[in-house]
Amino acid sequence: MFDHALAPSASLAVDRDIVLSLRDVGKSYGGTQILRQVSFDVGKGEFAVVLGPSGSGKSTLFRCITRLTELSAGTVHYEGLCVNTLDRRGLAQLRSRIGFVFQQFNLIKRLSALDNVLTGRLASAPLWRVTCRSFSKADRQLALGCLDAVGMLDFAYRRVDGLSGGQQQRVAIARALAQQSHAIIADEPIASLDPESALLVMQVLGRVARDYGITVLCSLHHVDHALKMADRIIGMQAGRIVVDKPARDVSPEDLRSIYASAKPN
Amino acid sequence: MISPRRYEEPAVRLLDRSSLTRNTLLVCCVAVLVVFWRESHVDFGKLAQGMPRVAGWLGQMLPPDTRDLPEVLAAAFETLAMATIGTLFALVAAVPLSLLAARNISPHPIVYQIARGILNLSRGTETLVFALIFTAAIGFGPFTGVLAIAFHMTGAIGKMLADVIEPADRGPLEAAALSGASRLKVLRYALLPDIMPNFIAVALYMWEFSVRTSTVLGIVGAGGIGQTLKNTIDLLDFPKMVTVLAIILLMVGAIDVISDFLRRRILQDRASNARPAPLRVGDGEIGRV
Repeated sequence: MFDHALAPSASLAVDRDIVLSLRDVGKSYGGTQILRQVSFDVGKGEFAVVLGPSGSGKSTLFRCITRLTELSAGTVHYEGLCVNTLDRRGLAQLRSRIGFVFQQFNLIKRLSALDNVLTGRLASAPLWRVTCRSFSKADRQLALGCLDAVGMLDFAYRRVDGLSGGQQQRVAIARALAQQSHAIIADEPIASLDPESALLVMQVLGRVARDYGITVLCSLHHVDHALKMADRIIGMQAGRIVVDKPARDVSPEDLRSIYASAKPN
Repeated sequence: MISPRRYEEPAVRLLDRSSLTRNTLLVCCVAVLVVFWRESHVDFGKLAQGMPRVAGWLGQMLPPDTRDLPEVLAAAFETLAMATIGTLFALVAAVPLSLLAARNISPHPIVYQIARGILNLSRGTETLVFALIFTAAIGFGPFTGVLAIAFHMTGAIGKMLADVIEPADRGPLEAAALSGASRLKVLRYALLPDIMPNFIAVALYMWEFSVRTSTVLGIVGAGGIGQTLKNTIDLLDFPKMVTVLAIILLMVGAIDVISDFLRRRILQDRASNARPAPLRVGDGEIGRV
């Protein structure tokens, strides 16, 4: 079902269960260290939430994983593939294999929910199909299935600019699913939603990880949601990981260490 | 009382630096206008002297001479045809140029500057100038008009399209690019729907504009109703001139109405309440590893 065009790099022993692996990732802009020696592995089907105050480096971390931002130090491996050394082509293939969910949904406003979900098929669809906006039957069926999975099937032909924020975010999750990737990275997916929609979106993300074995890496501001939904909490403070443990083991002290005011060093 | 405190505001000075600069600028502007006024030889007395002559012509214009109506209509049709084809050529040339000339899409600042330069050159040269160049190069006829319109309109349309593309929402573009799709697919799928309404509005407006411009192109021999108009003026054939002018007005007015109609029809949103019906339930085929 999946097109593994990229062979795992020979140097790395491939552990089937580890999808994403970061080693000593560092990022600095000018003299400022945004990320310092960030290392963690995320397993298949794991729902990991990155918690941290604004400016703790969560977004930069996510941007480094897909090389939207180049890292200054360390390595990132995705499905055994070294992300650091990919060329343009390899990078496009890597990105097609990671679904992305954004805070502002980033849907194409004038298109229907279904057409938006089909964005997830852009990379594999031939150019003429994209040009005529005529995707194959298999792609359309897949996209409808993705909408079904997030509970948005009934809105398939509705323009997304008429949908509520929570509905739009679910369409965005369906778009990520349509890439048939093994991992979804969600950067603050509920930060612009009302509490009810936020809960629904988090439940959908949780179900995606549980039912389809898709790894979900998600940054959040909401501690409650994080502790309730996630398998694992990765706490960041001033570009460092200060907590990394199963969600059920997170203590109030851990939370305090995440949200303690940054100390200059 | 909301606040018991009292506040001291900075004193207003009449001659501070900013108001001085402003007043100097104002004086300069007035001076420039005076120079221009003199340069233009504004002379209302001359206008008053000439008015009776125009009034006399107005008398000669009526009744309009409609004997050559078929010929005039054919010329009008030629104008409409060459304006439309010229605009079509311009659209085809302007789309790629506008992508290169939009800051957010352009692959490189140098490419951006070059594309902007080409557009400015084309836009800055009037259609009539291009018409003169092409009559000299390929002779009289409507195709000369087509080329003149295409060359000027490429710049005009390209500039407007680039301005439409630049404020486009970045989010969907980034999302589509992050799905691993090539740049061309991203532009087609994520950018085009966003700019389509403005794109159509620009195309129709420029078409209207071309029709209006091309009514005078015949004066320099580039085909269409302008040629007929020039002939009547040269022969002081006022009754026929009225007919020609009336046809031009009617045509431009009709184009206005048609373009407005098309704009509204094309941009009308088709609301759809259709729903896909699931054939079988509960089989999550997606994302299965």
